[in-house]
Amino acid sequence: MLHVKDLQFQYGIQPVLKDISFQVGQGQLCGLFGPNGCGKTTLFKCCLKFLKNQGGQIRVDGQDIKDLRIEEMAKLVAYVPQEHKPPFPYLVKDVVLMGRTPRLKSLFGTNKEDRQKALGALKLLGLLEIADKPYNQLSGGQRQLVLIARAVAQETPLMFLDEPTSALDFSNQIRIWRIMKQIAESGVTILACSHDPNHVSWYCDRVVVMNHNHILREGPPQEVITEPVLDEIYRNVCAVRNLDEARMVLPKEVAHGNGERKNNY
Amino acid sequence: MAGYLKDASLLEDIACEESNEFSIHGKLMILLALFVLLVLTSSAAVVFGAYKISITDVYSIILSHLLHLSEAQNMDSLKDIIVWDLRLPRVLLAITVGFALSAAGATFQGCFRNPLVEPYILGISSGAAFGAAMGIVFHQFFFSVQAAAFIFGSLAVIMAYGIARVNKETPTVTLILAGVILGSLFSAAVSILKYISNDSALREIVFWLMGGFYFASWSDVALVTPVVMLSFLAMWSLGWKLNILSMGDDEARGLGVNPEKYKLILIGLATLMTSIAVSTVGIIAWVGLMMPHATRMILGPDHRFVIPASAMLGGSYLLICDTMARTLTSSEIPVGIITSLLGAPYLVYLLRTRGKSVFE
Repeated sequence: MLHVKDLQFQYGIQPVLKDISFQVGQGQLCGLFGPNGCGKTTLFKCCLKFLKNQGGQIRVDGQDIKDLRIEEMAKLVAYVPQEHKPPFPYLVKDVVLMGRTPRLKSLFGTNKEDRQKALGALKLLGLLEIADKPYNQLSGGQRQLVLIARAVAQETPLMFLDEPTSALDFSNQIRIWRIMKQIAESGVTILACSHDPNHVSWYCDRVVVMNHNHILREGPPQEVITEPVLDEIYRNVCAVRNLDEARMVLPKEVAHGNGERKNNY
Repeated sequence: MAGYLKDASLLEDIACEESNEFSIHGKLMILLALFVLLVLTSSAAVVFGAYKISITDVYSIILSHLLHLSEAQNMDSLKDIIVWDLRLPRVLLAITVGFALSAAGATFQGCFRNPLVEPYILGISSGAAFGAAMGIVFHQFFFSVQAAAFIFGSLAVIMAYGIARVNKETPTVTLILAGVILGSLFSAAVSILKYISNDSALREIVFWLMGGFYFASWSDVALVTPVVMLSFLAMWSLGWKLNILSMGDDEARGLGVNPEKYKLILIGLATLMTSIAVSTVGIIAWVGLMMPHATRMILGPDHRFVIPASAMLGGSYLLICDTMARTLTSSEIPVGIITSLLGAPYLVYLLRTRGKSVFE
């Protein structure tokens, strides 16, 4: 669904992305993992055509995004930004309804189907109770949920989420990962970046690890979220343990305080 | 879409029977109420005036013109001129200018994502003032004051756009700053013209700057009203796109609305309306800032409703101000003074009562 090949990008002479190549198949939930400032958001913006890549090729659903107009892109790709605050007090339901924009048939506004889809998205994210509240008065976490609902209402085959769980409490984080999993199972391809190695290894089908503007490893989480890889990007902070079926990434001192090592990942 | 989705019913399954939640009924009623208000104020405004004419006379004059009846009845030709040639064009022009400034204000605020922006932000008023002053001082070189004001008002915005455009993009902050720079440049140029002009030209410039409808005529209405109304309708039809634009450039791109293209169209329409209004009646302050504000407080931020409601409210407001301007005292008060005097307390009220929610 998403093919990125030899992608290059630089701001001025400062290289931000070097030789990025990876692909994500249809219906996969792919995590993008890497330290702060490694170029994750820039990679998103290149894939969304907000920024123009200087080299390489990005294909969405077989089409080179160079040839796609903004209107066509929005039917293929939905984007959930990290943080966003609008100046006007739009209601939550109206913000979600904006997700239908690429599919509006009439000039003036939305039809019944659009409104039903928006309500469906609100319900999926559990936002019906706050549907009538002004969006700019919500907490950062609630706004993230609203933006995810908007992306769901957009009904695109591909979805980019920039740290969708960064402002959420633990139960909402898990809820969002479950919802993303559910969306991916319905056939939508998702690329989500996250700073939590546990979330990525628990929920993603595939993980792309970035470090210093290039891709370090790529593959299924159990092969990629390993101690050597984490040591390389975080410099001796993490230990990886297996707890029954689940894999846990822990800080080293916590791991050593808690019994012997079972596995040498 | 179904081709992409194995389970295309992700949303259909959970879609429920609650589409009434998006009811726009109330907002349509408010639009209707504002339209009634506009009709009532204009019906009242034609009756008021320094020269007393009875209500029945006023309406029989208007009806006889509308129905092309012969004026053979006992109609006084002085009354006929006052109602048909002085008051009516003035009323229509005040409404039109109110429409133009308020709709343009709503559009600029949406495009620039800032509820404190007014339609003169990109230097239209200073550019038009410079054009008008040139037309007044060097009247032998200029075809008309109005044309000069229109040309320089539009030119100011085009120049601001040109200055702000880098790499095929026009960042909002750069654009606003460019507008401010050009505004002060043109203001300085107006000062030079004031400095070198003689007394009668100076007086004319000062009067032009204060704005007013003293010389409203049918030919003004015939020129300004169609332009303003057509731009207004085009703007209104882009109301939903303006909602998306007001979320920010990247958001708009993500939702399939090309921000560069639609901002250019909307700012172009708003500039056209504002320029033609300002070049005809001079600079009238506050209307373009206050009306969109007031409208958002009444019916929320959705620009599909804000644009028409703001326009109609602005039309009524400016008409009321102008009626006061020509009836309060025996001589005329420039209408710009009244809009400011009424407008400032209103903004103070806004600040004191709901400052946080409106200005945050």
